[in-house]
Amino acid sequence: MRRGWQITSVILLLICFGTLWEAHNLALFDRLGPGPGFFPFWLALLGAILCGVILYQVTRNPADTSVEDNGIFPRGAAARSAASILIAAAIATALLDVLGFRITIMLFSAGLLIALDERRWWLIAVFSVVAGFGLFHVFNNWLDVLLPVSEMGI
Amino acid sequence: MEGFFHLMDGFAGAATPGNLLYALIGCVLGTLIGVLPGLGPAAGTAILIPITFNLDPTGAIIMLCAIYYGAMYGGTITSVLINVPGEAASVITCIDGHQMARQGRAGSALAIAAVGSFVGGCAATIALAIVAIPLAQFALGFGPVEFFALMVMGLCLVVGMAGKNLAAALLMTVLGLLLAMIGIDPVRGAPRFTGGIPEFFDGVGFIPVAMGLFGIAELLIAAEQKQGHIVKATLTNLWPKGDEIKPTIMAIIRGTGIGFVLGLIPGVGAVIPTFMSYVAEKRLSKHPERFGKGAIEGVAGPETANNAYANASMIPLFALGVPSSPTIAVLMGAFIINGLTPGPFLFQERPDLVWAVIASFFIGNLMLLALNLPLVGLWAKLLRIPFSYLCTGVLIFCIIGSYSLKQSVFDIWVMLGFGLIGYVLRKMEFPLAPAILAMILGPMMEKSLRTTLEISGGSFMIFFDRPVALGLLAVPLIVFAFLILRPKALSQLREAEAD
Repeated sequence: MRRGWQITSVILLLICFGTLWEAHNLALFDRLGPGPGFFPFWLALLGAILCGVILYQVTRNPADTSVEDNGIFPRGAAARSAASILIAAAIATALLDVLGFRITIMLFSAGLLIALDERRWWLIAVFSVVAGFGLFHVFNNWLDVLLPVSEMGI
Repeated sequence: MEGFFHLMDGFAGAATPGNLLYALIGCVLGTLIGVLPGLGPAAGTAILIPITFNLDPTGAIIMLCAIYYGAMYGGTITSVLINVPGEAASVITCIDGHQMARQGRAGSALAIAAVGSFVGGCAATIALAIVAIPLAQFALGFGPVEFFALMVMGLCLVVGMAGKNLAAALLMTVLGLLLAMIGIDPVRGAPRFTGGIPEFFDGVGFIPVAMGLFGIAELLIAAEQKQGHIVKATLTNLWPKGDEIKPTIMAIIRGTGIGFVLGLIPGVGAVIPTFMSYVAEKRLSKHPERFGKGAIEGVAGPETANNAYANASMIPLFALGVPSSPTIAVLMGAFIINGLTPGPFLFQERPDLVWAVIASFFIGNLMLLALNLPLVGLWAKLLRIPFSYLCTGVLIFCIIGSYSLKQSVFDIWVMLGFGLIGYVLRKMEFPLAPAILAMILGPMMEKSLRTTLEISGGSFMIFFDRPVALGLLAVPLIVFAFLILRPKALSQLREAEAD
């Protein structure tokens, strides 16, 4: 966990430096008063200092973080479940505009349920169809919330 | 008295068939969110915002508020029946609530939790009706200087109460504020930190970020955990035994006071009032050895404090426009989506909406009382939904919620990205509440500060010329000084919260 804090602090420090640079390139002050770079500049500077403080705390006094020394990422089945969720959601997002909501969500539901160890095929089929077509109908027709439709009109 | 008349008008607005239906739907959905472990009120409220898109603003806000306090009720059911809190504020209820269930007294535990929640919620709402107008009128005299100081105070209190590491909590606040800076500069119109990505010109959507940090991250963490064993609820004996009635009433009264007072302070969070109520009951009890073995006061006090807190935490939002917790920040986001800005001006611009929403709290609390006890068996059955179906369903709602804000797939990517970030940060115990509150307050803070400095010609001495602003800024300084000089004072409370 100590290494995790160090890596996170360094990444956030780099983000703060990047923000500092861009804020500095925006006007900090103009003739009307504080410019668009003013607030982000001071925030990024404060953020960089805090990253430095955390990095110091973790490196010199690991106990200051008061975090149990467990790994961040799970292993085994738990890791597989979490990864399945993220990968399935990412694939569905990529396909949403191409296949439309109904087909994408139907495939997403079936795929994720199988990945999460569901084996009752009839239930997977019913859930997927209801999730894809049923929710589309409810949101599109009853709640007037527009959801993506493929070029084929599905 | 003025508040009373407004409240009566509010009841007329809230009691229309449409608004009653929205309150009922909100209560049912909120209870469902509270019941289902792994889906907290902040994520649940954010996910369900899309279903309110085409409602009128009053109905939409009534429904979303009902989801919030409904979730507070619902969390109790899982705490009592399976020893798994549906949401963080119900953690403490597990201790004695689940013991009562194991002794065949689940009915009593759930009944007293429902009654306590009702009393606490209604008492806090009465106080909201009384306090809101004077507080809003006081805040009407605020200029940008005072508003900036007020928001700084709110954020600093959140930081002070969040997590074990003060620097990490401050860093999360700074990152939340920086996230809010992405997009077109609200004063000069210059694009900032967009990386040339056109979708960022409108800024990073608050709702996708909230859904990611709370919804997706919670799902990923829930995917690693297993559900507990469900105790079969015995619902024949709903009421406490004869000798338990007096301590139960006293626990409800004390819980109301504790929840209400702490609800007024930004950043306290729903866990601390419940914890403090439990500690108070145990200390005041003549038989403290019963606690942990099924003491009814250990359920009545915290559950009352929980709902009193939930309703009281609306006061800073309605009267001052400052959210005090992530869920309230999501509600504030819903106000903004509906073209409303919470705060003192809302009482002048839309009194009909404000008072209808406040009146709906009473109606909603009554609905929850009526819904919870007869339907507790049904709620318990929902716990048997396999995680695979629950997770898939929640993810689909997250996708719909993110997409439908701007009809943009890009927002779903934002949600997933922040889901992963939130998952990692939560595993490392970085507090996320300050980030989400800072993100929603960021644009207003920047605008107030820049206007202040334009008025003063760039001098920060203006804060010393305004006593209210100076007083507001002194509060976080005192809190930080206390935290730094007396670190042990709050560490015990934080550790208990973390446990």
